[in-house]
Amino acid sequence: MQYQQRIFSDGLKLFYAWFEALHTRVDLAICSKIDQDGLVEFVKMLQIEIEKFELIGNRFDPKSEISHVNTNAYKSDVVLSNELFEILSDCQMYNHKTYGYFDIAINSTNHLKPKEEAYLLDSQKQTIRFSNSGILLDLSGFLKGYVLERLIKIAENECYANLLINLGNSSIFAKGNHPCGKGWKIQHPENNSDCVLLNECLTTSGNNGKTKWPIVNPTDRVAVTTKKSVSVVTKLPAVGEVLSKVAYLATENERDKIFEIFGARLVK
Amino acid sequence: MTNIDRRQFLKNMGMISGGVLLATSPWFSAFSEQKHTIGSKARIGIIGPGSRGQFLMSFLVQNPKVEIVAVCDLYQPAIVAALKIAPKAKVYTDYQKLLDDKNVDAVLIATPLHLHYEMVMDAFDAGKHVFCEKSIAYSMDETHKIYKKYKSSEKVFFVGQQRLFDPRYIHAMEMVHSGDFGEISGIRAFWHRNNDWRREVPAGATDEQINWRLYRDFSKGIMTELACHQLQIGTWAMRQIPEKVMGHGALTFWKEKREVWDNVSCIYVFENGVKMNFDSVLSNKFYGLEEQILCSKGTVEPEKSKYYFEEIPPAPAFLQLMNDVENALFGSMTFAGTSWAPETANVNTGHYLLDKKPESDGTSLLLEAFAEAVITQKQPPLIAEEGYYATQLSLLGHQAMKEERTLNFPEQYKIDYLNHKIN
Repeated sequence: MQYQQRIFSDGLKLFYAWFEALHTRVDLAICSKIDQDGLVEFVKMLQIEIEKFELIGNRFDPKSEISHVNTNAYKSDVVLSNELFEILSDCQMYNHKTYGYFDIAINSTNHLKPKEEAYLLDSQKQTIRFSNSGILLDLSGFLKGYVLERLIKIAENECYANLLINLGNSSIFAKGNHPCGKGWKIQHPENNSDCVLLNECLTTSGNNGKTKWPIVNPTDRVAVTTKKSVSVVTKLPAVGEVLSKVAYLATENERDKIFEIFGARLVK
Repeated sequence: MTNIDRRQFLKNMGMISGGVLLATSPWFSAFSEQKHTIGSKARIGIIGPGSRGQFLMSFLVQNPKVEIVAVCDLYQPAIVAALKIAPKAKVYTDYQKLLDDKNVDAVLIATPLHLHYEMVMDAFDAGKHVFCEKSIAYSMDETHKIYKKYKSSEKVFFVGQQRLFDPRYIHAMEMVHSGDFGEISGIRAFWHRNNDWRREVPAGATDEQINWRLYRDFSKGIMTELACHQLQIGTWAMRQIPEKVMGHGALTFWKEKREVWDNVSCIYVFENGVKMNFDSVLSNKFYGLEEQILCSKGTVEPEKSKYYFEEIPPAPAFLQLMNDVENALFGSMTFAGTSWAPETANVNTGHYLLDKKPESDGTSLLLEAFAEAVITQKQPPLIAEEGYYATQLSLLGHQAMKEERTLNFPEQYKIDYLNHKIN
């Protein structure tokens, strides 16, 4: 972790910390009167939380829990940690509510039949079993939002009222206020207009031509090649991850219906 | 550097506020009495006012606390040029006569390397303070004898290691010593040029007189002329003296009328296994010169005045946020977009050590410090020792290359300094 702090005339401190995690960058700006050591400890706490979920959900790490699931869940039931069980339950729920546009099994090699579940969860035993061979669960398009939610909860528990957390530029949560205004002003990447966030998350998905893993449409399994990005504003960062894919893939009609369910707004 | 510039420099470096400057560069204590020395003068005699000597004189004459009272050289054109810089200086052709001159408080010796030993020893014997251009002497034994002579003389002894006063290097060392970059993993020093290092020989002069650096009886070539500057950076950064050295030297390109190598490579090994490499080729200048201090969290290149963190740099939008708040602005932040990944990140272009390019490479401050020390008659801490080991390491490296074997630092030449502390 690296950090800087500026102290202003009224005793207000603006603390900025940044580090690399989740295969991307993390930036935190915190307005507080807490001293630097306390803030460093707080950010370390967040780092530990991120590392915990990286060990659970990074499918590129062969030692991660999701890799264990991907290797073994077709052969037998796999017992899940509380955290992964909750994540996979959420992903299943979001898959249903988005007409299948959000799908963490999209990179599976064995194509599923329509309406067929990629995986079955047993809430009693807290286990998972794949419905078919060749299933591959990929949390890359969800984990950042989920982790961001956890970070915000920690911040609330620690009584931090005003902060901005950026996970990789694509998931930004603004809590409370900028030292000089209400909410936090973030410029929308597509049209350069300002978007004011107050206890909200701005999530962006899309194809900038550099992405190694482009968005694939679950309805036809074709990678989207259009170079554009879409941004959504949600109360919950995990929902933002889900809806940014929906906004990118769904028809306008479907998109509006889904957005209404979640109380989200598209940044235009 | 004018007095105002110097004050600003010292303030910027934390000297006036009693900051960390003295911890990293204790020799700056030479300036601790600079207010009390106003009106006093260091009367300096120049032995060897050749091109380097004249360069140093050009700084000395700008200092109101210095008076160049004498110059000495056998080579008449050097005397003529020196008198243009210091017209009132008394002229000598015999340095012993200059040393007998009671108006001379201190001498600056900028003669060819092989002449240093006798002149420095005689200068101390004559009760003069000494500034000796690097390297100190032609052999390790001579260098050690000079150091012992200085220690028993109670006189001031400076060596021309100007990087000790270079703002880029001082700030770099502050950052390195504060642990900003983590542990030092290695040091790569190199000094590449693409020229024959030869100067035109005027009528009446010999090639040995003008191009003495190319003759092995007068010089150890690259090691004593270039490496000694850079090896000192290694000991300054590491705060350790390397234990041993191995290397190879050869004459590969400039083969005519030259006895010293034009292509050398040495590896110095510290106690903890960290290595300092020194390389120099004189037939390619693409990479120029640099001392790269490689640390676990970052890299410092003081010559370029830059440092680079291993980890990701701060996001410009968040730095802008800090500035906006400082100016009470509720600005918009520009960073949202599709996911940032290391492979899509910008190339690490690093950060500058200083806000602006320094006006001096440290030479003027080094000479001002010498003048202050001559006036106060107080030797600033560690400056002689840094110069001592810079010379000894360059000579040891030369010896290792000559013998083509690994050489440990000889016990008999260790002095009471850093890890060579003698109980």
